[in-house]
Amino acid sequence: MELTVTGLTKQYGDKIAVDKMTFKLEKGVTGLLGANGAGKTTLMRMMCGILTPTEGMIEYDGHPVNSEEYRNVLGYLPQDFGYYPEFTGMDFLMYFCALKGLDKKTAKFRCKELLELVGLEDKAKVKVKKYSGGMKQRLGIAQALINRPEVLILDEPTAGLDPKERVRFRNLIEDLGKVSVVVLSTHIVSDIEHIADRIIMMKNGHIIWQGSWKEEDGSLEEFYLKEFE
Amino acid sequence: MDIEKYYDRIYRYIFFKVNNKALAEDLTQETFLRFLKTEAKEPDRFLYTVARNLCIDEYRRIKPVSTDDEEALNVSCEFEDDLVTKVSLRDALEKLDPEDKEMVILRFVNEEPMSELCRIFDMSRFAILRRLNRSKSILKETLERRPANER
Amino acid sequence: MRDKDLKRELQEYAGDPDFVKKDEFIRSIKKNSAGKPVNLFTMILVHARYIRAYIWLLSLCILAFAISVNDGIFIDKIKALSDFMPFFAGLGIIEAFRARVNKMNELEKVTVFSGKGVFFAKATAVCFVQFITIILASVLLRLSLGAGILYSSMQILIPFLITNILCFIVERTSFGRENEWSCLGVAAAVFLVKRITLGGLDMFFYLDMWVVFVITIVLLAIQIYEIVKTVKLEEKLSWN
Repeated sequence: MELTVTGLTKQYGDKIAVDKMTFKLEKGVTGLLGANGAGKTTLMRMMCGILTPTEGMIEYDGHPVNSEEYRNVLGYLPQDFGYYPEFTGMDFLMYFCALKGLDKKTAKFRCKELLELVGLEDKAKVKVKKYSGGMKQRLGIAQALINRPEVLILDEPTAGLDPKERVRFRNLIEDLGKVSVVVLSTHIVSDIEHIADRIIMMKNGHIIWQGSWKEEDGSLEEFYLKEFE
Repeated sequence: MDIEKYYDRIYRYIFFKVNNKALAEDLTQETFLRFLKTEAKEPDRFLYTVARNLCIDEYRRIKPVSTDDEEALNVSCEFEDDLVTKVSLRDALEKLDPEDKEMVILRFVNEEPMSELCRIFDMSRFAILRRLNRSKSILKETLERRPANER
Repeated sequence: MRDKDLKRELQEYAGDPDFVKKDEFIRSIKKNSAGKPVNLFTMILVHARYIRAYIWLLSLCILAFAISVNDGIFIDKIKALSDFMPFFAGLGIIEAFRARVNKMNELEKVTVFSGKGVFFAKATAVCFVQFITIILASVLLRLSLGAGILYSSMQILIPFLITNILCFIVERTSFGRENEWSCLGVAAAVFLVKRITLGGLDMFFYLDMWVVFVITIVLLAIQIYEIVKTVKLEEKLSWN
């Protein structure tokens, strides 16, 4: 399980969103830290194969990022996503099960299992438009897990979650990091401080620091703020 | 073989036999691996048979002296978690015949259809219903007798 | 004690297997077994299932109208259907672009049936349903009116294709992106222009059959080109 990014660049006109980024990710949780505008979302979209890089390459175990083999093992939660207004929570997940190639019977089991995992089992038949922000985010996380992804890319996944949901989410991510490559972006240090095996700090499309952070290294938040001065 | 459909069911089936979460998980995975290797042409419900046999093998591994299958299935205390708290339910289940206990697990826990139970136990619907009702009464009676704070 | 309480207690006693262990195991099993083949046809079928009811209802109404008893006024039924086609096309385009309007398109792109193929599959599914409706309507018009299939299908297809093409162009602009119902405006415009230019007469009054045929083929080709162009441009997203 290895996600390799080499010389990745994304340029829009004369604006460079991501500038020659190179790194390798293995099983575990990688936190992508950076302010809004750092290029995190652009990087993640390229890692999902939905945005073509201007230069550079992304591969997963030798498969290019726009291949079916990769999409088969990929789960993605964008920063902002919507839903068809008539969908209930269950409908929403069933729809994505269909798009991810699950047959109807398997899809039903899977949806029930995922709704239980994210604590939405009693909201399955409620329309998504009636969900709170936190519930919607949990539904999005459930959607990302449908195909048991080996690579999980989560863009600001804790936005809208209350403290209790945040803790639940962190525990889930920590567990998933034991068996998948998890990349999550945030500008909130506490989200990843204790669960990330590796941290990449981004600013203006560059990596300004990367490595692992242990408790004995001190406060990640202080270090992060210092690097951004 | 529909692993998504059967994984949880096989896990729960084994758990009721061994009363140990970690062991139940290992045996569940072993069930599927063995099924795929040797019994792949059998229908999915054969997974239960494979699981059952694995539990017997495991018990024999721990306690090689016993040769009685029924005893092996009935006395599962060797595998129990130290921290088992739902003693009353376990006690209630132990009051049932092994075959009745299996029926209860398959019907109430795994929600297998009656047609499956008829096939597995080679009995009529009427006979199975009769035994399930009797098991239900025994379980309810035992559980209702436990102190209020344990319910 | 109620049956369902007993059932619940039994199920809770067993609990659930560890999610992560289960996840890893099932993934390893699935990886070693053959995957399901993915083809365009399956992809289109999946999206067809999610086309909203009103598109199907409109299609049925069109077919019902086509087979309905003719009261002797030969041209009017075909003209009526031809007049309705811009709106049928506009609503179809709105349906095809639903994912973008409802911000589902990013999620949809990251699926097995995917890449930019998702939009293509969705647009194709909708166009396919509408196209079949038009062909069937032409056949039914032959049965109810005795009208030539080619004659009636071209009359219906041309305003449909023109509207479709214009809608695709509009959807590529920021105005189209921001206004979900802009296609209905396009449909209304096509309807009015058709009425004004043709008056109460059909296009065969002004043009030879073979000219109309060539126009239809050219429009079909442009339609396919527009779908492909839109699919390629779907990637252009705003960045943070």
